[in-house]
Order: sequence, then structure tokens, then C-alpha cells
Amino acid sequence: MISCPKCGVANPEDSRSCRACGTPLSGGEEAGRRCPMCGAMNPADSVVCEQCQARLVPLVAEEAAEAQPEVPSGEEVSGAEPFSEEVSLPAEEEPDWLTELRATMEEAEEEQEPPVEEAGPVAEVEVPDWLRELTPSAPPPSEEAEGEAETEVPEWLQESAPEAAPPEEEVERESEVPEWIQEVVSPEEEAEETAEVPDWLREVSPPDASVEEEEVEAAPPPEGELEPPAWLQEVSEEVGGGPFVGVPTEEAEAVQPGAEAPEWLREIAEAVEPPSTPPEREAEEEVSLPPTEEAEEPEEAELPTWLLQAVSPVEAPAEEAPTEAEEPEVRKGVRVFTSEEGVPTLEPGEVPDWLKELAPTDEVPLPVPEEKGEEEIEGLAPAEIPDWLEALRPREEGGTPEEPVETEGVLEGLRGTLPPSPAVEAAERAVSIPSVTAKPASIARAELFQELLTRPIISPRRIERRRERGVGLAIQRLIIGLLLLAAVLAPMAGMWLPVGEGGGSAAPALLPDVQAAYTTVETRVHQGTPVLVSIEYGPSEAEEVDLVAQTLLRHILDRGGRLILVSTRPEGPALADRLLSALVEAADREARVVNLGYQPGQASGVQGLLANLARRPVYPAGVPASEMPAMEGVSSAEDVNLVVVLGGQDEDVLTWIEQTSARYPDLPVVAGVSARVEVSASPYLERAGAGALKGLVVGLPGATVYQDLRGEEDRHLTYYLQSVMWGQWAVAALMAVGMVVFLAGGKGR
Amino acid sequence: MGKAEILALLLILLGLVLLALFWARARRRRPVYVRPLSAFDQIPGEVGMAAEAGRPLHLGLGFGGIGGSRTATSLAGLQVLEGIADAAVAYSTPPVVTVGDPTLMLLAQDVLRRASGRIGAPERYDPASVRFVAADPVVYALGASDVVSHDRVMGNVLAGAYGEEVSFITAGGMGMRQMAAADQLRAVSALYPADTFLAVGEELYAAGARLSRLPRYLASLKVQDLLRLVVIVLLLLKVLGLF
Amino acid sequence: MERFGKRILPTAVAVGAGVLTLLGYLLPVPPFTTVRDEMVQWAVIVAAFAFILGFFNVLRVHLGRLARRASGWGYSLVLILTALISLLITAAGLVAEPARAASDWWFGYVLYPLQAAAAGLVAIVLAFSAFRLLRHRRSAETLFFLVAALVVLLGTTPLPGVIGERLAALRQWWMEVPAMAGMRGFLIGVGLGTLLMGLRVITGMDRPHSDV
Repeated sequence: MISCPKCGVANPEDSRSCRACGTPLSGGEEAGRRCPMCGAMNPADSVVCEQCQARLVPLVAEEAAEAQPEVPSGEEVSGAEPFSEEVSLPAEEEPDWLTELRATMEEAEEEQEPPVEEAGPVAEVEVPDWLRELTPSAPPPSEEAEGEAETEVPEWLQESAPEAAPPEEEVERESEVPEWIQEVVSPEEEAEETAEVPDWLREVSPPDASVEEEEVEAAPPPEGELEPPAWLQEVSEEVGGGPFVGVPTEEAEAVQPGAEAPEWLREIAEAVEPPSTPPEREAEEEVSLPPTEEAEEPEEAELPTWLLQAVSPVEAPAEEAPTEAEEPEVRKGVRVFTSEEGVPTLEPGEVPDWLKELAPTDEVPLPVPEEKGEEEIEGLAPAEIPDWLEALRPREEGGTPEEPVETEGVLEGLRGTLPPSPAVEAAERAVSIPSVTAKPASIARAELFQELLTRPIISPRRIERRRERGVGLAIQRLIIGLLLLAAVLAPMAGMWLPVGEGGGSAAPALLPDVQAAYTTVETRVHQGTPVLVSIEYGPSEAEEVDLVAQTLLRHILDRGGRLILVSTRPEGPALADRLLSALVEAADREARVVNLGYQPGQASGVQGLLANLARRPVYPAGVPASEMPAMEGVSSAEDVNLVVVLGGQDEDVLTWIEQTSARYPDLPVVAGVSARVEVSASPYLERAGAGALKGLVVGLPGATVYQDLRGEEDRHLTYYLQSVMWGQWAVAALMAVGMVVFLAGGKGR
Repeated sequence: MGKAEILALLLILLGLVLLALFWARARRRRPVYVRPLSAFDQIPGEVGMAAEAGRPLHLGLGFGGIGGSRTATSLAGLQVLEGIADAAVAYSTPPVVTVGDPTLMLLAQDVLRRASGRIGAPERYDPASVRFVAADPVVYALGASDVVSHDRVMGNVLAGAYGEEVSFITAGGMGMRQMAAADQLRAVSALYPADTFLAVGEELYAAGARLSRLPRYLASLKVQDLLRLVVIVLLLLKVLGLF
Repeated sequence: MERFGKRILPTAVAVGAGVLTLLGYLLPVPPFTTVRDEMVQWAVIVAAFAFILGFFNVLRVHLGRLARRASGWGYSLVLILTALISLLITAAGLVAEPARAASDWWFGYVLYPLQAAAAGLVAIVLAFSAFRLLRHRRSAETLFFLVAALVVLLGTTPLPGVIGERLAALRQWWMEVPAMAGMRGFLIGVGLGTLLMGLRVITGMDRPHSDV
């Protein structure tokens, strides 16, 4: 938990802002993350930009983030101080190149405009502090960087600083450059190479042999001095890479550059490393490598976004190289450099690929070197190229077989395996993000979307059909409404439809089910028998169902039954009251009838109700039902002789039938329903084989039949029936007319 | 237990086993064919058009709720909401959802709230975009019809428990594109004459498979189809007197 | 932890409640039936509370419209007022006997006729759409639909004479054979859909209740 500094409320671990007061919960901006989209600074643990909602952390990056701490910080590295002494660089200078660097970085950033959203996050993950420093926004880092640079950064690296660097600086550097180096370097070369070309490279350039030797000289010292820096050890342990631990000093050298690589690499990068390449080639000829351009492209693809950000396109390869280089260097660099025999580090074959990669790109004013080198190149044994250099090569480069062979572990003997260093890991992750994050669901959605895109549009018919006049529709509707109204009122005007035999017994088809209902009531209800009645209709259906209900309930009351009414609809109780007031004398009511009111919960409610009839309060007074005389001897549905369901909606009716027959299979159910429920209720009839429903009284015709059975004559009902029939005729006529009109293609077509 | 109950139990167990199998299969992203259903296939496009027009869709979930015989129907309708919520919320045009039962209202609100959370904009969630209209089916339909005709909605989608009063809503939506899925006969008979893209009966339960394509929905639909085949075979055997 | 609170716990509760309730039906003996009945009561209480929330939702939606002066806000105002009046009157009628008459009157002379009239409109709308059916759909299928509807309509209204008898017989056959058959198929499909929905919920595959 994080407690809010302002209001003290505890917030979830990953909160960005306080859920109570909105105060940002993370530290100051220095530690923050820069949004790759809008540039706003966000708290360091932000996942999403507060300003623009862009994602700051790649979806998978969390683990990588954990690794981050291990990544060498500049200070640690500086502790190692690999090169510093040898090179004896003046500390003062570094600031300059750093500033330059920063400047260039900024430019680069601007040019490149914010990388993919992931970029930000990725950078965080892998990019050690030093990288952050490099970004213009973060002021503090720069100092660190300087510090590091002073100690660690070899001159040659510094020299390789950005092209942007003003000439004067170069001059300075030259001056700074150790004498031996200066000696080595021929003036022309320098000029050619642009300022950035590392001195040591320059040195190398002139005499092949001498260069090597000299380099060797230079190289060895570091070895001796350097024990693997602390951070390296840490890394190795964590990474679990056995190789790291035991790695000899040379590795250290190699590694360090990698670790610090950031700065010098950038420098190189921006400086257009290409220059550096040339010298080597001249000297060593090993350069069999294809021109930089090729290399660049593939590499770019693989480059972690943060690298892309940092590096201007041209230099991309160079930067990448360092990162990848780390491991290889670690392992194999040893052989190459160490060479106890005193073999110069730079063998002809050694010329680092990354240097080659650095070769001139369009933008960069490239040094001439390449031409010279090429002939020599053949002479060089590719095999000799140090693995770590090899590793720097763009992987996808065609035709370069020399990928480092894994020397240990499961992958032993395989080429092109990925080095285990944290930075590289992170980079790989970044690249593979899409496949890792996609969940089946999102993929499915994407597929659906794809499918939708490719699917032809359905039903163009819609398009041609268009709204007719709103007025036209309204008039049509009005006419139809009036017509129906007239039809329904016709019986009042004395217009009777001729009906079949039986004074309006509409459908003989209804007879069996009504008969069954009638018989059930006759046999199950006696004096004092409790009958459970559910009122499952509202005012919307009441006009129809009320008539059915009255017919059924009157029969039950006449036989002396007691009524227990309940409803799963909120309006039910009021309707029940209306119904009862028409059926039962007020004086009689207490003894014969009890209204249990509204039972929420639909099916569950019905279950609960059936099990606990007596526990319910009475509507509307609220006294316990068990105190009512009409409830005497009734505690649950088991004590009831019959269930009558009066419903206007099929679901309600079916719910009652199902719930009752499921728990009380011997309890008969009779239903009086609206005509529209007929279709869905009839499959539940005992007659239909389902056995749950004993009898069914459907709508006005059903009620009429029932009254016939009881020998009742209800003029009221007859009127209703006539109205309904008139209405049906009217609708049938309308349909017929519509059919003719629109089939004939008349109106509207 | 009678023969019928045993048979039912067997069917349920079979369904359970098949469900597990197909679920595992679907989770491995084996392609699962889902038959096209014009009612649902229209919807994503409709969401897009709504986003373009900046006007929401209306999604009616019917008058059913949780806890009754309409539970399954209503949950199936909810899948339609699930299927479009992410996109609609992301486009800032969350659907106007009408419900006729407050329990369903809570679930629908939850779906929209989660969708807002998933796209990282929880503040876009507006509980008022789900409206409990009325508990009575007819009144619900009238209320929903009012939403459709007067709330500047872009399209009309109906999925859930309805009766014939659904024709109020489709009448309110006349002239706009309407999609409907219902598993009640009365609703279907009223929806057919209204000019809608119609998913009938069990097709309603394919909403999830068709719209969100989540493995569980795909698996479920597959099992549903298989079980129907089983039932058909059983019926035929019964008719032929072989069973 | 969060996963537990938002996903595992709700799912466990849901699955557990479902299984316990089912057990009450499969093994109808005391411990199970008691638990089942208790669960059912809880469900009822939850449903009742949902209604209260629903009421507030109605107020919220329409107060919002009122505040925005959205088109038709006048209706929203009427709605809010009548909702409050209904609530007051009905509550009063439940609490105090004297107010009972008022609440009965409100129901019998305001709510009831309104709803009944609304229901009456369904017929008109249905007739209207049946009338225009062929306007936007002209197919053999549609024609078949219309003819079937006509047969059922006319068959229900008893006509004198042979025609009437024939029609009634046709209607009955229609309802009992093709319509019933279609209905059964329809219901079986729906039943299977319901079954699978239930299986998904009870096995925790579907989590309409969970946050993750």
C-alpha cells in the first residue's frame, strides 16, 4: 500500500494518484517517466501518461523493470575505472562532449519524434540511469554522466563523440590524446575521418602492424587493472550466466564499454561512427563486412525503441551493437584480447563489425577508408574476428556466417543465440511484445474485426428504402387506430357478429382444457380448502385476465375454498385487492381470503414463498400471515390443495408451473391466462404429456366456455367477446388489404 | 428419478464434459466456426457508425432480470452489451442501455464500468447510460421506444426478454437500422413484421460467440449445437420406436 | 491479492452458492434444503434492494435530463413528480390505514388506466406493422407468415356455417401440428441455450459478477 502524502489515505500499490484526493503518489519528476507521445513527465511508476493516456510501460515490461536495478549505474562502473588511467583523460573535457551529446540527443529526439508508445517504457526498463541522463529533460543525470565519463570513458571513446561536436573540441581532444596516439595518427586521416573517429582508430589506420601492436599495448593495461566491475558481477549472478562470473579482465573491458556504452556509443552513433570503421579497415583489412547501409536496416528493425529514439537513424546500428555486444564480449572477448601470448587485441580479423557497420551512411560525411580496406579484407581470416565484434553485427545481415557460437549451456554450439545480458533481454522483449501480450480474446476480436472488414455489406436493400413522410406514417397509424377502435366499439352499437353455436363459445378446441380445469376445481376444492392463487398480471393485461380470474375464483369461493393470494409483480397486490373486492363480501373477507402481497425474486421468490407461506407478512397491514384466519393450518405449499395461476405473461405462468411441480409434484396446478400465453403454456398441459398443468383457461373464449360449464351467463363477457371478435376481423381485414396493396406494388413502390 | 430425469442428467453431464473439452480447445485458439447471424453481424458496424456520428446506439435488454425464468435470456442479452462495450466505450459513444428489471440494470452498469476501466478511462463510465425504465413489460417497451425515437440514438439493438409489446420499440426505431434477438415466441412474432435483422430463439445464445468471440462462448455454442444434434437423434429414435 | 478480491472470491461465492442451491434440489434433506431456502431468501432480498436502486436510477436519469435541459425535459419533470407522488401515496397507504383510500384511488384511477391503455396500443402497433409487412419485405416467407396469421385470426372468431367450421378446424390443426412442432423445436433450442448458460455460470466460466 502507498499512503497518500497529502491526505493519508491508503492506496493500492500501483496507484498513480490518490484515490481520495487525486494527489500524485509517486516521487518527483526527476525520477519520472517521460511520455513518449506528449513529452509530459510522469511519476516513475506511472503506467499511463497522465496527460495523454499514452502507455508508458510496455505491457510485458514489468519483469524487465525488475532487472533494471542491476544494470550498471554509471558510478559503479566508474568504480571499475577500466580505461581511465591508461588513457589518462582529462576530466574537464568530458563535460563538453557530453553537452554536445545532449544537444544532439535532443535534436535526434525531435527529429525522430516520439517512438512507439512502448519506447518510453522500454527505455526505462533497460536503460540505465545514464541513459536517462542523456535525455535533455533530466538534468541531474548529466552530472553523473560526466562523472562516469571522466573515470571510465576512454579517450578514444570520447573522441568518437558526436559529429556535431565543434571542431575546436576535436582539436582539444587531439591535444589531449596521448602522445603515442597522436604519433600514430596521420593528420590526413584525421581530417578525413571527421572529428569523431576515435584516436586509437586513427592511430591504427596508418601502419597496419604498428597499429595492432600499439593497440595491444593499450589493451593489455586495462585487462590487468580491471577486475570485473562490481556491477558486472552482480549482473552475472542475477543473469545466472556462469560465463560472466569467471570472465577475465578483458571481458571487463569489453563489457564496460557495453555498460557505459551508452555515452560513448551515442557519441559514436551521432558522430557517425562510420568514420571509425574506415581506419580499421585500412589497417586491418579484415573488413569483409558489407557496407553499413545494409547492416543498418536489419538492425533497426531489431533495435529497441529506446535506441531508436536516442540514435539518429544513421547511427542506429552502432548503438545497437554495444548492447548486444555485451555478452559476446564477456565470453569471448577474453580470448581475443587477452591473448596471453601477447597477441595484439586487434588482429586483422578482429576488426569489429560494429565498426564496419559504422561505415558511412548517406547523411554522414564518411571518411574514405573503405576503399582502401577492401582489398585487404580478403586477406583477413574472418574466423579471427573476435566474437564480441561478431555479435555486434546486425543479425539479419545476409551472407555473414560468423555469428558467435554459444560456448556453454544448453545452447552450446548454436549460432546466433541471444546473449543473456539484461539490456539485450529487454530489447528482445520489446521486440516481441505483440505476441506476448495478445490474449486469445483480443486476437479473437481482431479476427472478428478483420472478418467484418472483409465481409461485404449485408442488405443494401436498406439503403433505398427511406423514410416516407413522417406525417404519412402518422396518418396511416391514426387511420388504423380509429378503425380498430370502431371495430371494438361496434358491439356497443348493437352490431353483433354472427357467432357459432353455444352463444359465443368461441373455440370448441378449448373445451378439453377448460373442462379439465373445471373438474380439477370440483374435485380438489371443498369447504375450507386452502387454495394458493398467484396474480401474475398487471394493469396491462388486467382487462383480459381479470375476466378469467373472476370466473375461476368465483367457482372456488362458491365451493367454500379459502384463497391465499400472492404476486411476483409489484402491481399484483393492488390488482388482487381490486379483484377481491368484486368477488368477496367485505365482511366475509377476513375469514375467506388473505393477500400475501408482492413477492420479489421471480423464480427464487416463488421457491421461497412456497416453502414459507406462513412467514410472509400480509398486504398491506404487515401482520404475519400465520395470524390470519384464512391461513389456518397452512404453513407451506404442502398444506395447500390447489394452485391457481392467473397470468398475462408466459414467463410468470411458466415459472409458477415449473417451481410448483418441481417441488410439489402432487400439487395440481390450474392456470387462467391471457390468450397470448396459450402457445407457451399448452405444452405443459397434462393432456400434452407434461403432467404439470391440470387445466388451462385461455382468455375470453376460455372464460366463456368455463361459464358455460358452470351454467353461468355473463352478459358482460359476451360484450367483451364480441369486441374482441370485431377487433380480430378488423385486423384480419387490414392485413388482407395491406397484402393486396403492397403486393400489387401500389403505394410507395 | 424417472427415465426422463436420468436422461436429462446425462444430457447435462454430457454438456459439461463437452463444454470443458471445447473450452480447452478454443483457448488454444483453434479456429472455431460460428455460423453467420445477420442480427449480430450488423452490430459491430453499427457501433462504428454510431461512433462516426457521435450518437449512441440503443441497446434494449428486455424486461427480464436475474433470478427468474428469464435469467438466461437476460444474460444472453447482456453478452451483446459485453460484445460492444469495449469498442463503444473506447469510441466515447457508450450505448444507451434500457432494462426492465433492476437486477439486470446492475449487471449492465457493471459491464460498462469494466469496459471503461479496461480502456484506461474509468471516468468515462456513466451509470446513467443504463436506464431502468419500468418493471411492467408494456411500460418498459413504451419507455424504451421513447428513448429510441427521441434520444438521438443511431441504431437500435434489442436482445433479451420481450413480448409482443416489443413492437413499440421497433416502431419507435422505424427508419433506423434495427437488430433484434429474442427467444420468446411472442417477441419473435412481433419482431418479424417489424423491419429488423432478427436472431430467433437459440440464436440469441450465440451472441457472445459471435460478438466477443471469447473462447467460452465459442465452446458453449459448439456444445449447444452438438447437444441439439443429440436431442434430434434421440427424438428420431423415439419416433421410430427404437428408444 | 487484487486478483483474489476481484475475481477469485466473487467467483467462488457465485459457484458455491449455485452448487449449494442445486444440492438442495438434488438431495432434498435437511442441511441442504435449509441452506437452499436461506440462499433463496437472500436472493429475494437482493432483488428487492435492486428495485430501490432502480428507482434511484430513474430519478438520476431524469434529473440529469432536467439539469441539461435536454429535449423533452418537461416530460422528465412530470415523470419525477409522479414518481415521487406515487411513492409517497403508496408508502402512506401501506403505513397508515386512512391513507389507504388515496393509494387505492391513485392506483385504480391513474396507474391502472394508463397501463391498460398503453397495452391497448400494442394491438394498434401490431396491426400497423402487419399491415405494412409486405411493404418492406416481399418474399414467399412473408406471404406465408401473413396467411398463417390470417388463418389463426379468423379461426379464432367463430363464423357460422361450413366456412367457419373449416376455418376453426384448420386453425386448430395449425396450432397443434405445425405451430406446436415449431414451438417445441424452438423451445428445445432455447432450453439448450439456457442449459449451457447455466453451466457456464455455475462452473465459473462466465463471471457476470466478477471484476476481472
